[in-house]
Amino acid sequence: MEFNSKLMKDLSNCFSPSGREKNVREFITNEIKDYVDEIKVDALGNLIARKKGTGKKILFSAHMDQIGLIITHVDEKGFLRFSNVGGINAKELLGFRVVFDNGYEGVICSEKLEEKEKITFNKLYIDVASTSPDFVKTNFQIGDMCVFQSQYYETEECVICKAADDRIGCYILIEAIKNYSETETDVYYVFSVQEEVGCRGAVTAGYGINPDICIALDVTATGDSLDGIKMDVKLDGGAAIKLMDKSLITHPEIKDLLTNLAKENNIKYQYEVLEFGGTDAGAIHTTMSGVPSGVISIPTRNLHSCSEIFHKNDVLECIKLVNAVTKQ
Amino acid sequence: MIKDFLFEICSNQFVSGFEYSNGHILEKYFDAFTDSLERDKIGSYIFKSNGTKDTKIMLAAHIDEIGLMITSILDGGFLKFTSVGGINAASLVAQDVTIFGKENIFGVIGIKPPHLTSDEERKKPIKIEDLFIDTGYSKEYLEKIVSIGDVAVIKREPISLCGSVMSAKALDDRACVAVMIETAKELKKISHKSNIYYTATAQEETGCRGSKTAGYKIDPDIAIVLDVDFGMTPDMPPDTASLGKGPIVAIGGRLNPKLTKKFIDVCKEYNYKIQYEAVPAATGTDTESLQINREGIPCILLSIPLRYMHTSVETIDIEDVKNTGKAIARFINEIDNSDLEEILCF
Repeated sequence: MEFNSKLMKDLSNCFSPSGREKNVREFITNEIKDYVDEIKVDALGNLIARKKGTGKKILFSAHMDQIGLIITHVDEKGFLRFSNVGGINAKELLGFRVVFDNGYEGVICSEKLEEKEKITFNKLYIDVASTSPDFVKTNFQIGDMCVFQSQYYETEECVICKAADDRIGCYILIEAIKNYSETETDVYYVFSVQEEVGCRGAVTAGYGINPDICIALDVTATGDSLDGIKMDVKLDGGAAIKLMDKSLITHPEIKDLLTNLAKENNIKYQYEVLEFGGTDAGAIHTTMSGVPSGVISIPTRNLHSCSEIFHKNDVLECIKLVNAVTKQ
Repeated sequence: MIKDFLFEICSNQFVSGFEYSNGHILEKYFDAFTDSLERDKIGSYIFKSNGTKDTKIMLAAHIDEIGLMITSILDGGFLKFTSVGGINAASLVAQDVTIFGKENIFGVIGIKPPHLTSDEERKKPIKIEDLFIDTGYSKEYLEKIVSIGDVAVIKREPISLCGSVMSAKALDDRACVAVMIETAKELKKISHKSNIYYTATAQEETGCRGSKTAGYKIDPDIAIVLDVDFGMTPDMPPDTASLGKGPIVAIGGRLNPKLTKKFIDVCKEYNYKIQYEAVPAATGTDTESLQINREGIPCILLSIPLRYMHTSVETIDIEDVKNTGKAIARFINEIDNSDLEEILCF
């Protein structure tokens, strides 16, 4: 299987911060609608596709939303004050370009600071490159959201793009759907909303489906760069089978299932223990009387920045593992 | 019997997420007093004692304990780890541990000799990321028996202190699992009309997860949540509860006020010693997930006073365990003979 660069680029460029997932939902719907038996959108906006079967109910989940910023105030001079949607560190924002759903762009600037280390959201503002406060007030309102702007770039090995968290998970599920082979398993592919603000979509999708098992597809950090994160996961190390994060301790049956399937099918894998963060599986595994759950993670550098990096080989291994789970 | 149970259960591991491996110990002690065992899908154990009417009463005490999880195997046979649940790194220094890999192996957590520790280093708090487990094995051998994600616990045998006071690891919250056994034993004697669900919940230490799924499965009319709370030592605030003076009854927004009052009234009538604590908001116990389960479950929260929480020398008075168990049996008996709806009606 070849890496589908166009698909990943299009997914990455969909404007869809948490709570505003319409664009990416429409894009994914168009990609998969001819390949699935059922497709629907639940009350919170989760896109739920199904390949029907008479066997065990499996829920795969990848979240559609991306982190972003929300306008809290438009000032007299036409500068925008903002807050975060999802986990964003104010210290890293200075100089980032942002883009709005209407296509307008801006840049994140800061008031004069004595100490750069003490930067907080209330010292930052967005300059949308206009000298006319009236123009700004007409085109930007409180509640408008924007996301990081960056160019999609690809090498032989890797991709640099925004919102790899978790469009790469969406990519894997889309490819898994397109390469699905007939099985008795009743498979639900959930493209969830609002993961970045607390796995809210996954809660309702999990309740609505009440599956026998759940596997989330999401990015994880790596310990192979110089950013100081200490863990054994690395790029090109294969699909990462998560064993614990702050939201989930992987069910032993799921750990064994994923490990054995990887071994049987010659899928390259690595184990992952993440000391921060969580995924949709954290929300879904305590649904009703419980759902044995795990996560297939895509090792990714620079998480929650405008330039996340992942390895194409890892993605292909993840797709194989998803389809191995579907088939068993 | 309670002491035997505590010594046996505290010598074994039930790290959050790994509660499945030693369930036979629970079965051994609950079997005589209960009719059936079910599991939720997260790993909680639900021992049911059948009653003659429809009322369902859930008792919840978590069986899981805090532990360590291996994150990396280093050259020279050293293991890096993170915590499962909240652990103060200082309490890990100079401890023996057991690592549960393909086979169980021992290790120690050391620290740099004082001779080589500068004044500046001594002032800094120890962090888990600075520590490692020394197993003595080679990296090559370790890689065959230990993998990332395996868990470890501090190796420590329970000990008896003066009288009925004992010390062990994981008395948070096995002391309260013992309370449930005492209640089950009492109720077997005096019989009961409600269906009683003695629930040893999983994954409390990582976010009250097992009580959420067990609570959903049982769908009880009321829940009696059992956990431990801080016991008095010279370094604690003056309003801290004391060992040997009975369970601590929590009063606050997470708890049903009328049910709590009923428990207090029963204890006063039958001369069971109790202590009180005000918990204005979060309790940090299984009540967090049970109170808002389904359409809401009226809860009371009783805590056994315990010293040195989340260390391997947690200390309790077994008399508190026995008295709490008996008081709960009496409370259930009173509920059986009254109109529960009337008690719960605001």
